[in-house]
Amino acid sequence: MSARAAASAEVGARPEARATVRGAAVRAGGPVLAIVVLVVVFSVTSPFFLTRTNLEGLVTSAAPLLVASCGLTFVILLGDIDLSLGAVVALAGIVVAKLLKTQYWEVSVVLGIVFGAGVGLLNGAVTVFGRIPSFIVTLGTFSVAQGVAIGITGNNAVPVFDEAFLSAFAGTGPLGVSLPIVYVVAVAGACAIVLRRTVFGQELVAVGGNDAASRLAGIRTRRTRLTGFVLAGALAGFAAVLLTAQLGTGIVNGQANLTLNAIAAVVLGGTSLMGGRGSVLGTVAGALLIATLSNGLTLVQASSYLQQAITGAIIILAVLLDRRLR
Amino acid sequence: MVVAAATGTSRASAARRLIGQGGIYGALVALAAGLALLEPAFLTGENLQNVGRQTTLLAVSSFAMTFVILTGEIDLSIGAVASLVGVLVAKCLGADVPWVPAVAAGMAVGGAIGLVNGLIIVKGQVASFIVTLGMLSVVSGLALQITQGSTVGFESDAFRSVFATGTLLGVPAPVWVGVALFGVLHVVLRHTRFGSDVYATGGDAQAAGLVGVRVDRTRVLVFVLSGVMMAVAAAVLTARVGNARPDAGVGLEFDAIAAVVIGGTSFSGGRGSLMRTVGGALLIGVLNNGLGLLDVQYYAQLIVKGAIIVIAVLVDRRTRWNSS
Repeated sequence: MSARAAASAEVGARPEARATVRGAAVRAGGPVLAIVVLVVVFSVTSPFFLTRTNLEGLVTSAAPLLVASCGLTFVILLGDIDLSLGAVVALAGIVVAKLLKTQYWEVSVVLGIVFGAGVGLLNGAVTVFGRIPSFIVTLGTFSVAQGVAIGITGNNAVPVFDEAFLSAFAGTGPLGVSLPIVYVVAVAGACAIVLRRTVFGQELVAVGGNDAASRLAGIRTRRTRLTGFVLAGALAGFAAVLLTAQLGTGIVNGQANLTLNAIAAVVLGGTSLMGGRGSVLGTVAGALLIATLSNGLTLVQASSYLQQAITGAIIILAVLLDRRLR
Repeated sequence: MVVAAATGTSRASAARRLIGQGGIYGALVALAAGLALLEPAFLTGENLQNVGRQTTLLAVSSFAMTFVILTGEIDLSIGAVASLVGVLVAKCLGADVPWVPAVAAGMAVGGAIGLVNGLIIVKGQVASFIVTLGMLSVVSGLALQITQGSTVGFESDAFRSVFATGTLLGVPAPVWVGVALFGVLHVVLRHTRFGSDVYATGGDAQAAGLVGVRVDRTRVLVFVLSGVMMAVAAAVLTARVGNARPDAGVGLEFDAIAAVVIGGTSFSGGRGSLMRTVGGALLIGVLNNGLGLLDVQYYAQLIVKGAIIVIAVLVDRRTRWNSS
């Protein structure tokens, strides 16, 4: 839906820009269609599904996933991958929760985001300068981040008592709109603009499409790739802030699914794992699809085990269908 | 690969391959020597048996992963397959089915999952990364649903003896299982049409297709092999623990990928060997054992493991691939 709104808002823009926007809308078409089908099915099976409370809760609880997947889109557009995402979000959440004990919440939040960006820089630097696959690098940082998280917490959750922090990142804003939704809209909008309307965004897509040709065309490809990783890391940090506020604690484990869901969201949104092709709006649609599925299956009282199996099957089917349609 | 030593250049590349393999085994010997000096308990027969038992699971898992990575693909579902098959085998054993048919049924299930993976990847032309990621979710969800999240117990001394507790000539039985699998798979990879198809598919699938390599068939078979091998891994895992948890195999895929890559098999396919993977698996196994003996805490083990994955690949790249 958001993709179509954006597409119609773009009518009258430069022809080539219109073409890319239309391309993005088509790419997001698969998951948008799937969401529509799911919404119809779930509204029939559960009267509670189509209520404002439920839909707001759906997006609010998916906020960390949405923010993290927007960041991951940059990395995947480069043709890279980030397997450390879930572990880094967990670790950054613990860092924020620990900082909140002694620092102002504003300071804790900024440091949490900077921490995420720092891990992104590390991932990017080893990948780019070491010239080794990001799959391997982030497999390594995944293990390291997990180890550090267990090390500094002794495997215990870190509770958060800072009311100001909780209400700033898990509370409701003006008009009774849940604040995480506001953040999601802001982050997704900003990412979409960075990707489509800035030189950096265009260069990122070019580098992901063909690194060697981009270098010959004068793009500083290493800097572009590093920036992509740092941006993704910063957004992982912000996702950690939202998650910590949502849960009221920094937790060590349980974010393994975040990595898988974020990758699935990006791929479902039509971004190619080979890089060079994709959109942020597609990712938003992909993440909402996963969130809708999880919400609806919970409402019809499917066990969390079955939910996991069904989500996996839908991911495979959606990607297959997407391939057939194109 | 098969016709190495035919020309000067391939002799040079064979030599380079040996030096490359020397790297992983050199590191292994250095690590073992260091551990033996730091901790006398390391070089005892009992501990070495433990290393063997602990490493077999990883080694068997990474054999299958080696084939998959050599074709330029990836299989993220192996840990989940090991969990599901472990649960099924334990259920069979609990119903007094003898261990041979139980494990055979497990292999059939593993192979069937691999077949589905392979067919979707080849026929649907979808990246193996995303297909096996989805399959990971499906299979682990099924394992949890079947057991409702609880552990499955069983009583079978014969099963536990073959895959965990027994010894033959002073060597643990599972190590013999691993060695036998290695022997068979090594021959398959080096001396059969399928084996050379695996290398050709991973090296340059398009060119391989043009010269008559059955690329699609090879890809599907590699995933079937992966599923079947994970049934053996599941047997080793289940027998060692003595029961089957529906999440017992979580993360096994990452450990297996790490072992393959640390061994020096190219992540982009076409270059590598099972011998390298054994080295990589042993390095991780000895390291874990040593860190445990030295009372290094689990979290520090995770950090060390992560660092080693990256460092090994960095060193490997510097010493080998730049020269070719």
